[in-house]
Amino acid sequence: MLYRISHLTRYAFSESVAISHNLAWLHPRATRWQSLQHAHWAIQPAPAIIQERRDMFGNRVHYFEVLEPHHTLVVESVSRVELLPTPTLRPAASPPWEVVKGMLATTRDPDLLLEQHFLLDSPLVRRSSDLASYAAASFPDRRPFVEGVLDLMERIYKDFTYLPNATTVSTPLEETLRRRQGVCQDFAHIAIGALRSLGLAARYVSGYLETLPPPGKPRLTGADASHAWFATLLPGVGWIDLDPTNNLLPREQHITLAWGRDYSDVPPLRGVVLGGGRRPLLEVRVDVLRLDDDQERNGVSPLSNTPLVHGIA
Amino acid sequence: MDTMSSASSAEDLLRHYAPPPGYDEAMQPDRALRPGWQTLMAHLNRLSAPRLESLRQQARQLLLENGITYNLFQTEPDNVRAWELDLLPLIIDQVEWLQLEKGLQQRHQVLERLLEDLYGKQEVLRSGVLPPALIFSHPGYLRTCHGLLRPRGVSLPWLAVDLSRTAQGSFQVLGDHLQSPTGAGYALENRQILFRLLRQPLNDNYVRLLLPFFSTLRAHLHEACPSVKEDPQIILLTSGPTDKLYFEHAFLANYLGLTLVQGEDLTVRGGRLYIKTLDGLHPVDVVLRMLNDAQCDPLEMGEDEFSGVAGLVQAVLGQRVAVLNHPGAAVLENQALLGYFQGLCRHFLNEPPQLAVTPTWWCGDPIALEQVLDELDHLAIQEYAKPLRHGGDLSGADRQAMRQQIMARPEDFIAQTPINPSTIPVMTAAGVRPGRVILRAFATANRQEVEVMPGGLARVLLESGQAPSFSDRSGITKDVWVLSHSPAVVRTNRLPLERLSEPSFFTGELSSRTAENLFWVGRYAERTENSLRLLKVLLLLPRPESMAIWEGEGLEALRLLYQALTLVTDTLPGFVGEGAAGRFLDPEKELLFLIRSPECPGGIHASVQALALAAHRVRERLSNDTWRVLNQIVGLYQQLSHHKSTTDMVGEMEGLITTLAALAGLAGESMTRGLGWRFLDMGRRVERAIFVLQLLRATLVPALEQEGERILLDALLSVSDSSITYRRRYRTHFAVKPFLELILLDESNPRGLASQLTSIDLHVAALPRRGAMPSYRTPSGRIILETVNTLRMAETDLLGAVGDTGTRSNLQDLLGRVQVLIPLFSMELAHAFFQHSPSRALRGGIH
Repeated sequence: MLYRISHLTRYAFSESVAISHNLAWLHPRATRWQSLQHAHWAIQPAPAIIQERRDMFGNRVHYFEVLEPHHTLVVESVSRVELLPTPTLRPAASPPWEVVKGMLATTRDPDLLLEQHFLLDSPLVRRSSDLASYAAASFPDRRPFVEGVLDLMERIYKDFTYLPNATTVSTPLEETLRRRQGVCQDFAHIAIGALRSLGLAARYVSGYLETLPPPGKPRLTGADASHAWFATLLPGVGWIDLDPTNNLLPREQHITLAWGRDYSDVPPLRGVVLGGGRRPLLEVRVDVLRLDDDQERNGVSPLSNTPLVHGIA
Repeated sequence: MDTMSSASSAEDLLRHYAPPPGYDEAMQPDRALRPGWQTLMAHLNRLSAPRLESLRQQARQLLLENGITYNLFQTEPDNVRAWELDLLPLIIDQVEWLQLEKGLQQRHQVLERLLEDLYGKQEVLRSGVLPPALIFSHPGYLRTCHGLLRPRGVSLPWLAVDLSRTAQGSFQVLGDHLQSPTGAGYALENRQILFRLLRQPLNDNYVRLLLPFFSTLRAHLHEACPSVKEDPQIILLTSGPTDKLYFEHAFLANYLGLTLVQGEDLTVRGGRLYIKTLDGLHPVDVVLRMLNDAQCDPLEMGEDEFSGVAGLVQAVLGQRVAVLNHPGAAVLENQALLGYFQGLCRHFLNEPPQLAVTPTWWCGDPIALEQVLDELDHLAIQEYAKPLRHGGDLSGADRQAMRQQIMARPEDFIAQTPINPSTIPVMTAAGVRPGRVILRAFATANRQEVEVMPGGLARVLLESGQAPSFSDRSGITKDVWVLSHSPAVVRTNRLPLERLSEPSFFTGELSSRTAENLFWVGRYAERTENSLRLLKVLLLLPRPESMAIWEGEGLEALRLLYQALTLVTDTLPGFVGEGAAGRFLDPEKELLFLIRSPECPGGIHASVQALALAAHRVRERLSNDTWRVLNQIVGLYQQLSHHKSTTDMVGEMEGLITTLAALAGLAGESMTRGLGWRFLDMGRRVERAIFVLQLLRATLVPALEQEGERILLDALLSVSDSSITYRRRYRTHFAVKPFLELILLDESNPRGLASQLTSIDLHVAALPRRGAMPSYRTPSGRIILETVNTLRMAETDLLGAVGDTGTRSNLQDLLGRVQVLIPLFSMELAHAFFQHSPSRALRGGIH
């Protein structure tokens, strides 16, 4: 399955910005089930410099500086990604969750040792007894690990109300847990906190959903902005992605941008500006389009060409 | 002084010294003195009690003079420099020191390699030498630094280690300081002071010098430059005067010859770090940062948008600049690492540690956790970023609560055997008493060698029977004397130079921030002086309340002068607005408010405070003499403001005015005529021009009868310090016309308006500007030229003329016009040279 993704962020400042420094996690990374065919930037005003590096989780990070005075900053990332079919899970065949927990805690395997990032607290997700007891209902004694995780995802989906603007990046996780409402990012954080509170590994995945589903399929929640879900680690098998906002296992409609311990490791865009006045107005537009065979062959983009110049390949 | 009697048993200072059992630094168990102490005590015992007390007071005074002015006015007790310097040093023998030196060298090697590994291959984590969770759970582990370490020099060119002695007398490590090792400047300062006070025992003991260490540190910084350069630009980055350690930063920058900068002086462009100066951007090669990791780069690390430099990490990544110690070093300050040092030492060097560490357990290790919970009563427990607690000191319920906390989040806790440092004699006001001492040692490294400072900073807590906690920064410090057996060392023993080298090629250039602060130093110094001159004259005149001796006109003149006071200090209503009449007839309260109240924004307190603050921000630009004078100003002001009545204040006011004049004189005499001096002088002249304008406008626009005018002009000449000039020229004939000639138009009168303007005009012509544009084409140049010309074309006859309304309307017009132009000039100057906009963080949206 081939997708074309356009992610546009526009900041409108009340006063002129003299200079801005930015970091972007906006070019999709390659994964086992995803290959990046092409990605480019359209940034206005044109950055004086743009440099790519990998962060410690292997994500692609871009650093750029805008050095000319501006009132609006438009950052668009355009990419083309191919999703490969993922293998089907057999939840009942997975080991009991206590065994998984034991493996994570006592491993001597060098690679598995380094996954301990995802067992511990992170800036936005602190383990707690409340989260542990929320998770406990999904993990009775000896339950196969994957069954438990699927159940946890379904419970979050049912227990929590999707409500944009109910939370901000700074809303504490305990409050989200108490109020039972939020957006995809909150649901991912709840799941991550719940799993870590039981001693299981969980990470945050930033990405996209297909905007317009194929005929006959429902439009998924969270499709017109960036999306987020979580993944958990089953040693020997690898990381398993789960989307609690839509209660499904991501496959064929979820494009992965980057992952980290929580949102703060992989915000799509982060910057520091000199000047700019009070809080800028922020506008985000995401288009994720499935390319059919013709479009793929001709390389024709059905998206309207946004009038942005200075593309950087 | 009540302390005199206590020191009177000076024949043997240590006669009554009775340290508790354990290791004492001065005395062996048989009370025999340890090496080095004999000569020192012999010297001190020869001194009389008053002489000893005087030495103690001098130490205090020198410390105070060196650095304290800047925080005199800061209200948070946090900011007060609480160090004291004890006359008795910590003395360490050569043999013992060599051993310690080896241990510190080894320690540096391990830490350097560990840092590289943790942000690189992570072999220590993969191979199980360190539990990954120990590193990953520590806030000092900065993921953004991963893969960042590829410096040309070392990552940790300097290091500070806290040490204490065990009961057996051997040293053990308490912890490491690696983000920005502090205290080396204080160590140097302490030594400089003792050089003045105890030179002979220093020499007799062959005490090793600190100077070579700082030369080496300087050389190592030079070598760290990412590209091979003859004369790299090396800067010292501080978070600024609000930092408790700012004094040390300024002191070190000065001594090492580094340019002292704050985040706002710097900018990253095109992935390269630059310093912003009045004549453009200059690349920076090496940054000695005195900021914590989290403050270095608001883009990559901090939540704090206002400290550090956005893009700094990227510049490091691009290997265009070396930031030292390397960002991410905080991970090594994790005390949990102490418990693993032996394994690390074996892993990296394949040898056992030469220097012991405080026995430490990281509770994240299940086996250690079990032990800790069993032994809780005998251990000191530390949670990250929280104060140390002793298990034995807790009540049953508290201990249970702590147990729960540890079990809930074991990786956040460490446990240590409580330390019981060695004792040392301390000269207190109540005689010589034992204190507990810990030593901060310093080392500097390059790729080839690790050099340890032969000395350090000793910190002492007076023995109180309680477990010592050295966590706060207050307390007593001691110089550390490392003895040498070779007299060769002291042949060069002399007062260390005031600085090692001049700031490299940066001399003459000036950052915008520095220019701005110098400008304000000038303005506030002048403002304080002017307000005081006017106040003093008013206090010397008969009081308005003693009506009887005043003719009607005299009272009117006095009223105008009081009104002028309100106007020049901008403290309406005062003697001008609502309630003015009543206040005028009983002015004491208003005068006291102006002089003493911190709540009076235009008052003397505010001016002196602003002066001290602005001066403090450019500490490194000011000579020690200037600094001493600033100290006196603040001290005199404090004495002044202690008086309850204005009648007692005149003496101190005169002292203050003289000291302020001395400050101006120093700037004139001892500053090079660079841009810095120009901005300072412009500030002064702008302020003086505004003062003269306001003063004349308030007093001379309304015309008085002859007697009133005489009193008024006499007072005004006194205020503007021009009485003598006036009398020499015009004898005693008081008239408005010659007065205006002298005060307003005479370009040769240094206190008059015209000379301020022509001086400013000259300064503006010398400021950097684009291309070959003449200065009168720049906005500020144009305004000042217009002002000068307005004044030159004025006619004295017309200015003095009194119109039908009984006012000098021509004078009013002229003063009004100039009064608009000068603030405009100040604004344009700020716009062209000082402009700083605050930065802020952007967050991308996600839903």
